[in-house]
Amino acid sequence: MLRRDPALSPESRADLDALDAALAGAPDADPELTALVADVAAARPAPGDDARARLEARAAAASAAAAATPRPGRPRTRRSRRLVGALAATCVVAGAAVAVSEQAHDGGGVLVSGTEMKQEMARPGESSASAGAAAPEAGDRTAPERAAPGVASGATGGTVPDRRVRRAVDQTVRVAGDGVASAAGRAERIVTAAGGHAARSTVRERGSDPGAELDLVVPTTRLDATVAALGRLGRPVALDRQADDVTDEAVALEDHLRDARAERAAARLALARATGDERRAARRRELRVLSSRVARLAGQVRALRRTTDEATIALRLVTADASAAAPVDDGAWGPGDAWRDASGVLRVAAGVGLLLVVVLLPVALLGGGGWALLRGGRRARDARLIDGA
Amino acid sequence: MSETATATLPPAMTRSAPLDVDALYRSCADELFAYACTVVRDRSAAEEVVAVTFERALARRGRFDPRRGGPRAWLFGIARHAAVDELRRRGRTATWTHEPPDAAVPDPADAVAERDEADRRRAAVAAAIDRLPGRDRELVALKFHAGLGNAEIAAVLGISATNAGSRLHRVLTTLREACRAAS
Repeated sequence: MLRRDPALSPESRADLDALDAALAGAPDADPELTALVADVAAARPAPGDDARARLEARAAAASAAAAATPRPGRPRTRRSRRLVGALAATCVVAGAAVAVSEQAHDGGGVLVSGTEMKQEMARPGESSASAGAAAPEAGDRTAPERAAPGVASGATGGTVPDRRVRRAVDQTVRVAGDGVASAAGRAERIVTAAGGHAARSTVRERGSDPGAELDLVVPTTRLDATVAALGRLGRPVALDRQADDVTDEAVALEDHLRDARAERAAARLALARATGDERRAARRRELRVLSSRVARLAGQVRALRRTTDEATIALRLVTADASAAAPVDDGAWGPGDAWRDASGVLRVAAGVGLLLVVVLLPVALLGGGGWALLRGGRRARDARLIDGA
Repeated sequence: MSETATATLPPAMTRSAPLDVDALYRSCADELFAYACTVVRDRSAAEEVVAVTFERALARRGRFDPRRGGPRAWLFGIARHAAVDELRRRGRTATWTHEPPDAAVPDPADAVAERDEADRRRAAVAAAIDRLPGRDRELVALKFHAGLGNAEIAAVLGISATNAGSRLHRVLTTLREACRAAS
């Protein structure tokens, strides 16, 4: 209605309202407009009887043809809108599912950490063999374990050598604000009971940032049990594992040592058979060189063996104020884990949606602009045609 | 088609019921012819436009969306496109639909002075309508002949209601001036 259109002047609105009244045949309509309406009606073209008959025939034929064909049905705009919405939602959900599965396979985030903790914390004090067997799933990215870590076969010529893996753990545990010192002491006792020792420790009992950092060394066979026991000092906050497979290096060193010993044995035999002072002196010099080389290689093998026989744990004790990371799954999957997983999915879905908007928005703008131009051009052409009639 | 076809819709044709194109067409067939004739200015072409309008409305009855406008506006929109297609196909200006009255010839008889005045006025209005640009003539057909409301006219022409009101007021002013000049 014109009364609701603010752009027209009041006089124009009044005139158009008066025209509507005259067209409706209102008794109090403006006489001039009433006469104008009558005059325009008198000039109205009307079809003749022949024209009406022809139109009636065509209408009847068209109706018969339409009755013979199936009814088009409901407007497609509503159904197509629903279909587009369903397709868009499906794409978003599918993209989110793919992204979540990729995230899980990459091994990053809470899911993988939760798996690690679940396998290690589920059975505390387990034997080294089974703990070692479970270790491959606990975040090792370098090489799978075939037997208990730190065990060397050495002289099993012809058999597959045991893997030698250098292990390190970074662990963060949240403890009470006034329990840092006692927790650090318990940590050292745990490590000592496992046959290890504390290589370095820093404890801050008071101040703005209470906490402790301990570098612990434990036999590799007791690593998992020790990590589990240290996790029970407080609330586990973070756990990172590193594994470095040095089997090839160990095998090479042992091969070199074996070769060097064989050469030394041959040199000894040659010394025993040597005649003459000069020859014996030469053999003795050669034997000293080979013995030195054997000693050096043996030392390297022992050092490498120590790095794989012992694992390091970098334990960090934090208090409630100092902890920054989110708590790690302690083996049970509860509402908090569900919320974290759900928020992860939502973040991925939001990212996918944002990408779609960024990619599709310019296309939509261009398409919309082109459509508007085409529509405006067509409207202008129609107006020119009508004006030219 | 009946000569007494009115501008009101059949009672069964509500927004919630399926669109009865046949009933809609029959209720405004004469108005469609008047509109088409005013736009294309040729009776035979107008007849073709009306027939094509019905055929297209039948074919598109499933696409009518009452949320986008009333049935009459939808039908006259189809008629407009059919008229434009006819003009594009013919590619020429239309012939006069009727002889314009010769207002320059006076009737000296005093007894029929009043009747002549009415005739002169109507002739002047008819001539004024004929002199209007095509789009303004179309407005006259939609408002006076078809009885569409301003919102419906805006929907048929694809313009805003404000624009439709402004143009209609301009046409009304022109016709009133023609009336007064003839009186």
